[in-house]
Amino acid sequence: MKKALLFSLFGSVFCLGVHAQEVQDSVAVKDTVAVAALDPNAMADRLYKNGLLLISQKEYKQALVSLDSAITLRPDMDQAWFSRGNVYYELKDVKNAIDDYNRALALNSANPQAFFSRGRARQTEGDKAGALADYNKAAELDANHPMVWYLRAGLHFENQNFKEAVEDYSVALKFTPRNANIYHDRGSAKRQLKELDGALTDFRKAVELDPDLAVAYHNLGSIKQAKGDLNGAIDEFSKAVERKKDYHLAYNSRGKARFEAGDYAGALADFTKCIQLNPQYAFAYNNRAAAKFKLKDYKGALEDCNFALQINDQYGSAYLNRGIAKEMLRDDSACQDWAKALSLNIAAAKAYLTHCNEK
Amino acid sequence: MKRHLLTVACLLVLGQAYAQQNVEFEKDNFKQNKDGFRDAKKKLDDGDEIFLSKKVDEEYRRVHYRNAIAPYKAAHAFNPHSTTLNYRLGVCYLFSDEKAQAAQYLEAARKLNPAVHPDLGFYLGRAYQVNLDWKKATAEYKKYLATLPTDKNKEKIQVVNQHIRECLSGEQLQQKPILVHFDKLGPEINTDAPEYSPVISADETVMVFTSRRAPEATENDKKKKEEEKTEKAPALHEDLFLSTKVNGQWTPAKNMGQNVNSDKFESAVSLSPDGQRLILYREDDNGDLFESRLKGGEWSKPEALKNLNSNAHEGSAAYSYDGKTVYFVSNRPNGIGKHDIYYSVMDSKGEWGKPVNAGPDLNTPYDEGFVFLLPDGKTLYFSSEGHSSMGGYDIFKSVYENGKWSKPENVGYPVNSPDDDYFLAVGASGRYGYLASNRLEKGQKSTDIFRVTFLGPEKPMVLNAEDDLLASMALRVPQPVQVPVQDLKTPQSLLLYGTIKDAKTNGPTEAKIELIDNLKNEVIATYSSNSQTGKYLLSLPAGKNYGVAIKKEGNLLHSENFDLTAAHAFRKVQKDIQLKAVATGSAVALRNIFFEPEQAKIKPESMPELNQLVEFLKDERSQKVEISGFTDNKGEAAQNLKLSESRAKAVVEYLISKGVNAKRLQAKGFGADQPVASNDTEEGRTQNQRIEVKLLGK
Repeated sequence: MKKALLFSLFGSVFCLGVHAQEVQDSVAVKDTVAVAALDPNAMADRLYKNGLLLISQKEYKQALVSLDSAITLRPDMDQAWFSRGNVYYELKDVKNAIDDYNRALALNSANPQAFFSRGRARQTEGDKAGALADYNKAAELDANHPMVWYLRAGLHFENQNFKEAVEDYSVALKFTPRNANIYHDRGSAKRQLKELDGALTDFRKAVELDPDLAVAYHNLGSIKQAKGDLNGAIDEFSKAVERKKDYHLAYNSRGKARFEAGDYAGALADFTKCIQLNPQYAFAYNNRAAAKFKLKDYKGALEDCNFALQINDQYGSAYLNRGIAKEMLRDDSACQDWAKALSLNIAAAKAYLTHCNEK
Repeated sequence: MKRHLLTVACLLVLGQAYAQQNVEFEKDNFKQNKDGFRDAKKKLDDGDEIFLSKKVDEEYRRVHYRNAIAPYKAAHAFNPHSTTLNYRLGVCYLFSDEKAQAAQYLEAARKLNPAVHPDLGFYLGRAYQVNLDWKKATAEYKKYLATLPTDKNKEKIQVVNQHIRECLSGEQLQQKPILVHFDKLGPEINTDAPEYSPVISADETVMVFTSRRAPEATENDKKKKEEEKTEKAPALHEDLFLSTKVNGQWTPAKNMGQNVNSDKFESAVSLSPDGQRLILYREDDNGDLFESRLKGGEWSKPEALKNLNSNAHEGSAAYSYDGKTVYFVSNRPNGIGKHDIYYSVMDSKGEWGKPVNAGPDLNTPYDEGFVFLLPDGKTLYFSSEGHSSMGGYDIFKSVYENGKWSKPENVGYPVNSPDDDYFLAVGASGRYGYLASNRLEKGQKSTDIFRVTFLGPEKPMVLNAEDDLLASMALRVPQPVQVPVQDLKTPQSLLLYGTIKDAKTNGPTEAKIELIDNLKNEVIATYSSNSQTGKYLLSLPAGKNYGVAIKKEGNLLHSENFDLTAAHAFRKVQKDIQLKAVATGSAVALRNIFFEPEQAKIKPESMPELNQLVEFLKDERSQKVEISGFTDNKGEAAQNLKLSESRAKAVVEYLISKGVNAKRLQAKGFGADQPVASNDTEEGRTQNQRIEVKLLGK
């Protein structure tokens, strides 16, 4: 959802922005008689421009009618195919969008916007290789547009090619040096490359440019936690939840940092808040179990592990933890939980099974 | 209402003022209740008779002061405001099983008259210490130290300083308690009478302990009891009892009978890993150590442990896993402290060598109490009043590595307490211990035997979190989780147990079991299975390639191999062995004959078993045998057949080189045919690669 929204925001601006002048110059088609009087080419042109106007007004269904007509009159009009592809994309009909982009590119293979838009549509469809090929072509044809670099960087990120992602984000930043999101995402890629200091610098820049970017505070906290600065991490997570009150992930992260700092009661409160915000978030139940365990509430810990496992019955850590709680409660089925955890690749469970056959 | 509250407040204030006045047991103070005073004074005098005895020393206090509590408490019920009584009652509690009660009386004594006795501060410190109130205890000890002139009180100052150190240890240990479960053993073991000194076999299936329960009454006993009533108080019964674990349940403990129990004070001290040798303490010659052996179903009359006992007190002992070394505790002269740990090594004649003091790594200037050796060949548990004790005796653990004992490690709170924690027997797995205590369960009527489950270090729970890594899209990435893999540090040993059956009778038999170090070509220890049950148990510490040879006349040699050269976690292996008769057609696998990989070259560690085979063939002079070689199914069949033949021939050649007539020997290879285990596992393949000896007749 968030992904689609972002594509919509950035993508539409990029695709439509190049036609702004044309839209302003277009003439609304109100009189079909007047239109009919025109020659087919002129009429197709009018219909196309009318389609662009309707797109700018977000009247996508009407735009579709207008562009359909334009294409019927002039099937060799690559811009009409391209624009109708955009309309289909906005209407979430990605398959037809891709078909139209294909037609547009068949008519004009030097249109970087069409490559960009098809790449975006392919990425939405999950065709990462196709999307990457299109972004590459778009960048080759028009190296000066930041969105190409930004979206290709995101694709690299998704493909776990973090080094390439950092390079593309860096190019995008040359064009838009005050874009907090790009700094943020480059920081994330650096983090995945374990370049913690570089990541920290980028996240800091992101919050400097956009002091309300909650996600950046969250990631700042996460880096600080990884570097052992638990108090610093807790501060950053707190800033994240101040800016985004329903940010359940940040509550969970702050709880984990508080747990590591030995503040088990504080951790418990954070996990509880996270659960209130997202009652289906299994991690928070599992983590709250750990806090309760430290507070010697073994029964409570067991119950929370049960909740986590109700949500996700393949959650290895929750089996491991439930076994630990059960051991303190003298429940022999702890061993079954550790065996299950081991089957789910939680290696720590192996050592715990050592004494399970003894009575 | 207000007036009522005021009245109550006034009464409280007056009451407090009254409570703070010392009221000693004097006639004039109780003119209005002369009868009550007379009775209470009588109780006070009864208590004082014990408390003020002329022969009072530390041992006297330990034994007798508890008996003053009942009369003193009766007197205290009549008059709680006597400084002297509060002080004496508090001190008596400190020498009882209810030490926690001491503080309230000693505090009352201080309120009434801080100068009641110069040692009040010392005893208050002790009372706070036993209540785990470390800071208050330390403060009291320090205040008390300041009252002691340094030139005349060296010993006392040393004691107080030791208590201050104990408080420091105690505070640290209490802050990091070990995770344990305590389980009081059931009525099969415990009764209302005291039970203590539990000793166990390595597999925790045999337990011997001491109990003061009344003997089972026979008609004769009843008659005797009647006679005793008229003449004297019945003697204190203290007998050794034995219970075995069957299907996970302890059987009702049975008195070990007249062979073991006598009229003297005696106590269980140690049980060998296989549960067939018992060391017991008997109050002979200042206290000596005796050994009783299980022969079939009967325990032999205990015999004094020669060369270990002295005129001094020997109170505890433990055998090493191979039975060739014994550690024991004695207060013989020229030690490091009072009671020290000594060891003695068995000589080639089977006699115990001259005892050697275990040295300052284990012994302290204070008392060491008991010793217990884990059958992993290197772990010693012992009790000591020194080291980092948190008060009285604490239980410590030390590991013998690189030629020395490691620094003794306090096994931790709550197994240890500021009181005397004297004895702990631990099963071979290290998971369970057995101890006697009167403090682990509310309302305990007497000392009972508990099982301690050592859970090891706290198992860390694993937490998970996710990051929102891209601002541009919902891409949640779990934060990396490093789940600490915890080493539970189990003893590095293997417990081999089972039963042995004779080929002819098909019943349990007493067979000789040799534990062999294959690499050193030496017999480490010799054991026997029980003649009645056929049961045997061996503990094999990690670090050696072991051969186990089981011999019984009329039966073929049975061999097992356990290569424990690499470190491994504790495990138990059950092998029930059916011996095979020395008869034509009988065949056995020789598990300790090793070859270089894919070759017929015999490895040196095969010598012990090959030599056993030579001895057998020399004993059975006219017996012809087939030496059969087998492989696993890896590789080509023809290759395997050839390898198995070559290996059989190599064995035959060795036997010939040792003087066995070649005409009696046949070598035959079977390749991968006749597997005895699955070839799908490494273990199975190892079983299949073997040499067998088959009797062909005379």
